[in-house]
Amino acid sequence: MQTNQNEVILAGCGLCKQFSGNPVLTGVSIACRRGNVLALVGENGAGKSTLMNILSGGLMPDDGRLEMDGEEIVFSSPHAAKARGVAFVHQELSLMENMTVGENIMLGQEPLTGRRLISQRALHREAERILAEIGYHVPVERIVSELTPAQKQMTEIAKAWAGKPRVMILDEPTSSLNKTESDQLFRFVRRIRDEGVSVVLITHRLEEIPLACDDVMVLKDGEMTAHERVDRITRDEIICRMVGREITNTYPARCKALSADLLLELRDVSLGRELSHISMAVPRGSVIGVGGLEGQGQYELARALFGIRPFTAGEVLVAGQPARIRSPRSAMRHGIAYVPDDRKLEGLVLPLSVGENISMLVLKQLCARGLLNRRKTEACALEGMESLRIRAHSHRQPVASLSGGNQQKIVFTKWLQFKPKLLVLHEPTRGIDVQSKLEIYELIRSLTAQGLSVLIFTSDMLELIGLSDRIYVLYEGAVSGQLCGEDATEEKIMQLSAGLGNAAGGGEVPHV
Amino acid sequence: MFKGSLRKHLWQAMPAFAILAAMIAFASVFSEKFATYANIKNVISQSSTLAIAAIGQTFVLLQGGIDLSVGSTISLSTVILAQVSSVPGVGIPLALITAVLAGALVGLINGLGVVRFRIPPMIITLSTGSLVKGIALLIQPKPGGNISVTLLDILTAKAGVLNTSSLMALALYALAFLTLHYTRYGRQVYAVGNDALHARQSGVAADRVVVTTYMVSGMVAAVAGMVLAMRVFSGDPLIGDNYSMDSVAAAVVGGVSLIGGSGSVLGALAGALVLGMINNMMNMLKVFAYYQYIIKGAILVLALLVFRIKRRARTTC
Amino acid sequence: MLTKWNENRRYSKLPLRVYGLLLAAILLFFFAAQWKVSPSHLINIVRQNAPLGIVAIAQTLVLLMGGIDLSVGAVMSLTNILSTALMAGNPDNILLGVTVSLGFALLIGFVNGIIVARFKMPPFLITMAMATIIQGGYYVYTRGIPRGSLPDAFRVISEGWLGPVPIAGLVWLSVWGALSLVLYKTPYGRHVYITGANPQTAYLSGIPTMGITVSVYMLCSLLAGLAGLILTAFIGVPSTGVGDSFTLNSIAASVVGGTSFVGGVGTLEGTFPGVLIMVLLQSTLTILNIPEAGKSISQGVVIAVMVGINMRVRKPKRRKTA
Repeated sequence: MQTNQNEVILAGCGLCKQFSGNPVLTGVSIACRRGNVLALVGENGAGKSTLMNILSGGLMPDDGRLEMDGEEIVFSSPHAAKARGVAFVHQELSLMENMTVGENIMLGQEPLTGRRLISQRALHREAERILAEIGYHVPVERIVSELTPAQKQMTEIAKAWAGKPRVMILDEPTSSLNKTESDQLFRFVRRIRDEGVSVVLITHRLEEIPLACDDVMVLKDGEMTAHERVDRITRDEIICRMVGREITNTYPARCKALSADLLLELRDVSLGRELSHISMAVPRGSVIGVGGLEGQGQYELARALFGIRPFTAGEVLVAGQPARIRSPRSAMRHGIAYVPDDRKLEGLVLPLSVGENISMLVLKQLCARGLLNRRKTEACALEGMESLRIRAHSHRQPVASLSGGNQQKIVFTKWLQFKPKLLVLHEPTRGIDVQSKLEIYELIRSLTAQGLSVLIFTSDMLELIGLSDRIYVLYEGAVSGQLCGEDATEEKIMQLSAGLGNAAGGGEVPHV
Repeated sequence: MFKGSLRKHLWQAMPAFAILAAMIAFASVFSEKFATYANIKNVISQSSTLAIAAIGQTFVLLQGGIDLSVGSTISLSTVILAQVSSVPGVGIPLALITAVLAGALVGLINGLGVVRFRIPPMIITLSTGSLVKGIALLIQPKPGGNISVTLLDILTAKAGVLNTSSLMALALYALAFLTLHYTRYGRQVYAVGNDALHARQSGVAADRVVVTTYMVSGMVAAVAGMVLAMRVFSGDPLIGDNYSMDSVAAAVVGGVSLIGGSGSVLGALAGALVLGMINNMMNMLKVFAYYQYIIKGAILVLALLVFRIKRRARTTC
Repeated sequence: MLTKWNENRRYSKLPLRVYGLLLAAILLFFFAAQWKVSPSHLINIVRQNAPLGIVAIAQTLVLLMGGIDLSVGAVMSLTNILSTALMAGNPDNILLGVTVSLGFALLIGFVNGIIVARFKMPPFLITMAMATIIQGGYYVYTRGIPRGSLPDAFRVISEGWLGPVPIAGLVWLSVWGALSLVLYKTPYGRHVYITGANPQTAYLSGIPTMGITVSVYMLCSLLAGLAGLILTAFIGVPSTGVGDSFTLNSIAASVVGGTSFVGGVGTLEGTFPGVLIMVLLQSTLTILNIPEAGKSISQGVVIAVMVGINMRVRKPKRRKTA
C-alpha cells in the first residue's frame, strides 16, 4: 500500500468557473491522492464549495478538465460521480426525513430477497454494519426527523460511505459535532485513509487540521495560495495565506467618533438555542458590522430584529425605549427597515415593475382622493431611480429583467422611501457587480451622514472591515468579540470567527 | 412485526382505524340492523369502488402530487364497459383492456403535464378530468348501455361476505402494500415525495416515478369504474364525479400526507371504509341522505387541519 | 422590439394576444354557424353570459392573489336556490332574497379565506371541500326538490334593456369597471398584486397579507353570489346545480385571458375576451351538436394548454447546487 501512496485517483486541472460574470475559480488544480487526507481551507466565498461541486459532478467547469485514474472524465450529475466512486457529503443534509436511518443509508441499494422484495431486516442489519465501521452509534430504525443534528450528520456520512467511494469529500462535517463526536469522525477518516480512500475535508476549524489531515490546500478569491504538507505549515501561516489582502480605498471614509446616542440596543437577547445572550449597541449615524463564519446566528439575529422570528428572551431598546418587535409591521413602526439576503425571494416582487416595487411601502402617500395618483407615483418612481442611479429603460420595466446590482438598488430605494431610522442589511452586496457595490457603499456612508444607523450582516471580510465603525463577531450564536473599526484586521476577525476569542484582544474595546 | 419507517407510516393510519372501530361499535349498539350479514355485505360492496380509487390516489399523494381526474376516469371506465362489454365474442376482454389502457393514457397525460410542462398537478389533473368527462359524455351522453351479463356474473360472484369486487379490492391493496413498502420502486415513490431534488441526487429517476404513479392512479381508477359499473349495472358519464374528492379525503383521513412522503396505503383503506360507513350509518339512523355531502366536506377540512397541526407541532420542537 | 413589448405586456391595457385569440374564436363561430349571425345575436351572447363574465372577474381576483376558488359554482347554485325560495314570486321580498343570498356568499368567502390564510391550507382542496359542503347544504335545505319562484320584477336584470344596451351586460361592465379601478388605482389593489406575486416580500414589507387574502376570498364569493342572482334572473326557476359548470369555466376564462396560476400576473382586460372566447368556443360546439361534452372538453383542453404555454414561456427555475 505504501508504494501506491502517491497515486492520484481524481484530479482537476486548471478549473475555472464564473457565476454571472463574477469569477469564482480561476485556474485551480487539485489532486485527490490515494490514502491521503487533504484539508481545504479558505474564507467564505473563496471558492471551496464551487471547487468541490465541480469535482463531484454538481457543477460543470467553464474551463479545465477532470481526470480520474489518469483519464479525462466528465461527470454529468452528482449521481454519475457517485457511481464512479466520488461521494460528496454536503453541509445541508440530503436525508429523507420520513425514512429511517437504515433506509436512508441503503437508499438505492436495498438488499432484495429472492422475490425482488426488500428485506427490511437485512437492510437494517447492513446499515448497522456500515455505522459500526464509522464507529458511531445511531439507532438504525429511528426516523430521521427525530435525530439530533450530529446524528443526522453521521447518517449522511454513512450514506456516502455505503456507496464504497474512492474519494470522499466532507464539507464542514464537524460544524454540528461536539469534541468526542469529532474525534470519532477523525478516527474514521484516518482509518479509511489507511484503507486507501482519498478524503477531502473542508473545514473552518483550523485546529482540527493536524488531527486528521496530511496536506493542506488554501484557497483565496478563487486561487490556490498554498498547498503544503501539514507538518510544514503553521496555523498562522495558513491564516496569512487565507487573508492578506490590501484594503483598497474603495471604501468611503468613515466618520470619526461614534455618537453616545444609541438608536438601538440589544440587552442579553436570546432566541431558542440559536442565539444566546447577545448584547449590542448601535449608535446614531454609525455603521455597525456583524461578521463571523456562515451560520453562526447572523441570519437568525437579523430576522429577529425585524420581528420575523422574534427574540425569546432579553430586551430590545429603540431610542432608549423598550420595544416589543413581534412582526415586520411592528419593526417598521419602530423605524426599522430590513434588506434581506435573498432579494429575489424576499426583497422584490419580480413580475412587478420598477416603479411599483419602489413605491410599495408608501402607496398611501401617493393617493389623491383615495386613488393612486399617476403623477405622484411616477414622480416617486423616477426620483427613486434617479437618486440611486438605477439603470432601467423605464419605471415600467419589470424588475425581473434587471441586473442583480440594479435589483439590489431597487430594494434599497424601496426602503428609503419609507424613511427608516435603522437599516438592517443582510449580505447587501452578494452577487452584484463591482460598480453597484461601490455605489451602495457610498450610499451607506451618505445615509449615516444624514443620521441614519446601519447594521450590516456580511460574510465579505473586506466589506466588513471597510465599512464598519464597530464590528461584532458571532460564533455559535453568541458574540465572540467586538472590534473597533480602526483596529479591525482580517486576522483578528478570523480568530474571533474560529472561536478563539481572547487571542484577538476583543476585551480591549470598552463596551459602550 | 413491521420494521423501519413502515411502522411510522402505519402509526399515521391509526387514527383512521380507531375512528372506524368507534363507528362500528357505535353503529352496532344503536342499530340492530347494522351487524347483520346483509348490511355488512352492503357496506363492503358500497365501499369497494372508493377503496380501490383511493389506492391510486395514495400513490400520487405519496409522490407529492394529487390526482383530481380520478372521478372522470371512473365514469369513462363505466361508459366503456357499457358500450363494449356486450359485443359478442371479444367484448369482455376488449372492454376490460380498453378501460385500463384509457386509464393509463389519462395518467400518462397527467404525468407528462407535470414533469414536462411543469403544470401544477392539481391544475393538469383538473383539466384532464374535465376533458375525460367530456369524452365520456361524447361516447354515451346518458346513463345506460348494455353491460355483459356474463361479466356481471363473474364480478358479483360471492364468496361468503365478500364478492369478486371486494376480493379484487383486497388483492389490489395487498399488491399496493407490497409495492410501496417492500420494493425499490415503492422506496423511490416515498423518496420523491420526501424531497425530489435529493432523491434525484441519490440516483432516483424522479420524473419516471412521477409519471408512473399517475399511470397507476389512472389504471386503478379504471378498475374502480368497472366495480362501480357492476354495482349499478350501467354506464354513466357523470357517476364518478364525487370520487376525485372522496379519494383524496379517504387518503388524507387515512393519514397520507398531502405534501408527500409519508402515510400508508392501508390508511387509505381505513379512510375509504370510514367514508363508506358514514353513508351506511346515515341510512341506518334514518338521517337525510344529503347530509353526507356536508359531512364529507367537513371531514376533509378537519383531516387537513388535524394533520397540519400535528406536523407543525413536530417541526417547532 | 418584441422583447420590449413583452416586458410591458402586463401594462398594455389591450392584451393583444388574447384579442387575437378572440378574433379567431369569432371567425370559428361564424364559420360553424355558416355566417348566419346577426349583430343582435352577438349582443345577446354578451348579455346571456354576464354571469360567467362576473364570476370570471371574481376568479381572476383570487388567482391574482395567488389562490383559487373552486366553490364559486356552488355559491352560484346556492344563491339561485336561496333567492328563489325567499322571494317566492313576491316582489316585496326581492330585497330580502338578495341580502340573505349575498350574506351567505360573504360568509362562505370569509370561511374559505380564514382557513386558507390562517391555517395556511391548500386553497384548492379547501374550496373544493367547501363546494361539497355548500352542495350538501342546499340539498338538505330543499330536500332535493327546489321550490320558490322569481317575481317578474326581478327579471328586469336579465330581460331589461336600456336603449340598445342590455342591463345584464351593463351590470357586467360596471363590475369590470369598478374592480379595475380597485385593482389598478388603489393601494389595496396593488397589495393584491404584490401578495399574489410574492407573499414573502409582501409580508416583509408590512403588507397585511392575511387581511388581503381573506378579503379577496370574500369579494370573490360576493361576486359569485351576484353572478348567481343574475343567472337566476335568466333561468327564472330554482334548480339544483345550475352553477356547477361555472367553476371550471371561470378558471378557463381567466387563464385564457393571461392570468397565471402562480399569482400576481394577469389583468381584468384579459379576462373579458377570455370569457367571450370560452363562450364562443362552447357555442360553436353547441352548433356542432355536442353541448355538454363539448363544454367539458373545451374547459379541460383550454386550461391545460394555456397553463402549459404559460409555464413554458417562463424559464424553468433551477435550484442552485452551489
